[in-house]
Amino acid sequence: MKSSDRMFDILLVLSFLVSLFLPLATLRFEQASVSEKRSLAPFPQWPKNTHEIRVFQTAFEKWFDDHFGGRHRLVQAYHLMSLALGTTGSPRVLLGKDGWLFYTDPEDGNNLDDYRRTDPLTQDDLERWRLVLETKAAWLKSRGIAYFFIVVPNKHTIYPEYYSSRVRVHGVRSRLDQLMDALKDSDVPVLDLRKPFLEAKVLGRLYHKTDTHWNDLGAALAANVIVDKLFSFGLTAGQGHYRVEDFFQRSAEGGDLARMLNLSRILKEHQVPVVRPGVLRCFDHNQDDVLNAEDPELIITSCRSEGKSALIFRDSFFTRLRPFVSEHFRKAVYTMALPEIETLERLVKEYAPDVVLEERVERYLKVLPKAPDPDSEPYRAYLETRVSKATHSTSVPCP
Amino acid sequence: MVFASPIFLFLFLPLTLAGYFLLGNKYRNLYILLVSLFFYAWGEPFHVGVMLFSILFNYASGLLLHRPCGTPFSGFSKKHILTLTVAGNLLILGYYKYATFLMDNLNRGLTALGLHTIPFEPVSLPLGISFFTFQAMSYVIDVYRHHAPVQKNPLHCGLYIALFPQLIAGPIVRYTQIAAQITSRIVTLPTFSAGIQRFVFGLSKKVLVANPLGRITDIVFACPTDELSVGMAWLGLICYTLQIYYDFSGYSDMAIGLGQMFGFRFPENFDYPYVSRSLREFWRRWHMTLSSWFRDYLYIPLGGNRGSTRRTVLNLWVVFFLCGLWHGAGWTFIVWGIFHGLCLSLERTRLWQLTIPRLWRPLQHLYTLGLVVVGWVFFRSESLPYALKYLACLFGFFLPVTTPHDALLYCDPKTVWTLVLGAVFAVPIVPCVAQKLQNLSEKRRRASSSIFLNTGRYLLLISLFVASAAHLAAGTYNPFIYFRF
Repeated sequence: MKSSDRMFDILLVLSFLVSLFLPLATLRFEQASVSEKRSLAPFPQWPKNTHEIRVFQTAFEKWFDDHFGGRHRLVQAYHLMSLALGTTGSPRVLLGKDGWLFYTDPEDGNNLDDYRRTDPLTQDDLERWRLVLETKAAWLKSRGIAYFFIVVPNKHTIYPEYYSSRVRVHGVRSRLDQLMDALKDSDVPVLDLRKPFLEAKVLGRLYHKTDTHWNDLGAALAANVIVDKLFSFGLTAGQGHYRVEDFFQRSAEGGDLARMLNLSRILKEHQVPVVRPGVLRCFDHNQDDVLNAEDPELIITSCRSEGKSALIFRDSFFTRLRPFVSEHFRKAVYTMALPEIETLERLVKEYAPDVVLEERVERYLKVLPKAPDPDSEPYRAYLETRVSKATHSTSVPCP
Repeated sequence: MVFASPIFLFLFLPLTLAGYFLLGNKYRNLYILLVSLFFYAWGEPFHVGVMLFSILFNYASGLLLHRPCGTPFSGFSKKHILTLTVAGNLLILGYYKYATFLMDNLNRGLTALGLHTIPFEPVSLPLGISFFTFQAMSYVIDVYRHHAPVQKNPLHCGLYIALFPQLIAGPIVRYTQIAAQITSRIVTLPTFSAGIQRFVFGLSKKVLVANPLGRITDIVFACPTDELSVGMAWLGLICYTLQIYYDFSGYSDMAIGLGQMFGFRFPENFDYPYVSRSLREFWRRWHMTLSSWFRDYLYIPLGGNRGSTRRTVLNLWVVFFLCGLWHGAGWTFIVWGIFHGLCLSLERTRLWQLTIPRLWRPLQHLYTLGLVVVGWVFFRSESLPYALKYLACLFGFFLPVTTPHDALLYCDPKTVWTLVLGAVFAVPIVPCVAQKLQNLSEKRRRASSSIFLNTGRYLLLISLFVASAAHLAAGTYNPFIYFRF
């Protein structure tokens, strides 16, 4: 046996054994993963009887899968290898052109098929949407409260030019197109941000490349559109006033999509527009009972001594948007609670707002709202509106 | 427990290796048997009893076949004992693997006749039962034929049947092939290193090629046939053709490699089957341990090809009908087996011998690959009607008016690379190149060229292992956009 062959064997055996033992020797015992934003599987209870054996095995495998040493480094290596081969390696994240990442989780809004127009809303879905939105609007109107439904465009709606050219559009109408068609003759005021965003693209990048969300510039643009609309109804003291000059460029870590690949420190963002210090004058402060189990993410801002108060049902897009919008209200209550009718009733009675804003990102149009309870007050208000509409539209012949 | 999983790779395997090499020779067989039973019980906590029963049943049968005169059961001839043993094994296999299939079909027939169905609880299938039953049967038959010595030590008999590397997916090892190694085996640095190399190549075949292509296969074969475009149908079939080869041969490589690490030499199971120029050759290269099992224990006893042509054809049909049934309890598997039997019997006709072997070589490859690929449609499909429609889709007989499915969507650069490399390495390029480099190195007789070759080999193996481990780790990564605490 040649000495080089022997050396090869020794090196290979040692390397292999080290590779096998290292993840075991460096087991990690943390309970949560920051990069994955979830609790890690806990160590299972030992089985007390034969029926629990299989449960224990499954749970133990989950625990080991979450805790073996070097897992995060290996995941990074996997995604880096995948990126080198022109894909992300994750079914939830699509690599577009020029390093843009897009969210495509089929279980979370199924953006990919919305882009392809192959997962439309059904007629029943659209009727449900219309019924719920009209019920909310009618009930709030009966109490003298204004209501606006705001749809935040998906990233691919504003930047389709950066989407992967492998993905071809099959249909014609997106879910938002369908909804807007369904609400054409409805009284529900819908703020569709697509047009102003598409027009404002020339001003600068409005969404992050490696995140699902808009950046500060996008948020400010949305604030201008929303505030202008509210101003036209006399619901704010002034108009939206944020300008491109209010922002400067800087680099930042990769966003949530980069984090989903465990590459947020590697896939950095450059030339991100960030609002200049001093432009925003309103800061959040949480309510004392913020640890309320029903709504742990309830945030209340009080930025002016006069003006209207708002109740805002939000998702993560309002994280950036909040400081821009808060400035225009005496008091704004932000909730992450699902905007079901019962929740709306409860919060309206509790906070007595002048205006209710319900914001939803386009991909969550896939998540249907709960139909109203036929015995509920909002539904009765909706029926009354229908009856009065029917009465007004029926022409009685002159005697 | 599967080989391509973090729990096997980073917990079971290191602890098993550590225990094995820390123990003295005396306890190694007991240790590896216990470890193998644990390995099986991990996935099948309640079915491990079935395997233990199979071990004891076949061990006792072996002893009875070897009993001296005047001992109990002397009223039974050895043939009777063998018949009972084979019947017993087939009963166990039949009950667990085919009872549900038989009852479903019986109830379907009763429903068609307007009669009451028979209530029946589906039987859950013990993992690897087809493999360990065939292995156990081969032991008993070989003892009966005096091809193998009887094993009087139940621990050794158990080790032969339950040895974890080949327990779940083969290769089907004959007792004669490892009888000597059970009692005496040596692990040296070169054999352990060779085992690692084989295992790593197998792991990378499974994780880097079979699994990614399998995901696409699953998507395509889950599509309704009226939504399948020609492109999608071919993409699914090409992916499956490579997936099944890399999955199965990868598993065999891992088993052979693991065996080598513990001092066992398992038989080869695959020999680049997709380079075959006839279906006959394909079966000499595909799942070799199964085809040789059927040849030695069924085809030859039925008369093989020693009788008339008609008899030979009948034997082929019987063997491949059962071969199909062995792969799975379903009509698709039966049809797949019969299809192969039919093609093999046609290859024995004069017409075939006068045409196909005289064709240009690439056309012979194409002919074989075509038949194999058509067979895979039956093998992979959920039902016969689906398989037939899928075949029609392949050739554009069912063009969907509109379809949301788009082959291009799944052809990302990584998949294209996987397909290309998968196709390239399905032909014997690696052994050919390795041999050429070895010859070159020996010709030059320079230490530097040998070092260069070994460095390349080392880096390749380490890269493959890290890439495979990274793929497995990515499977455990489950990030959320919002916090889930």
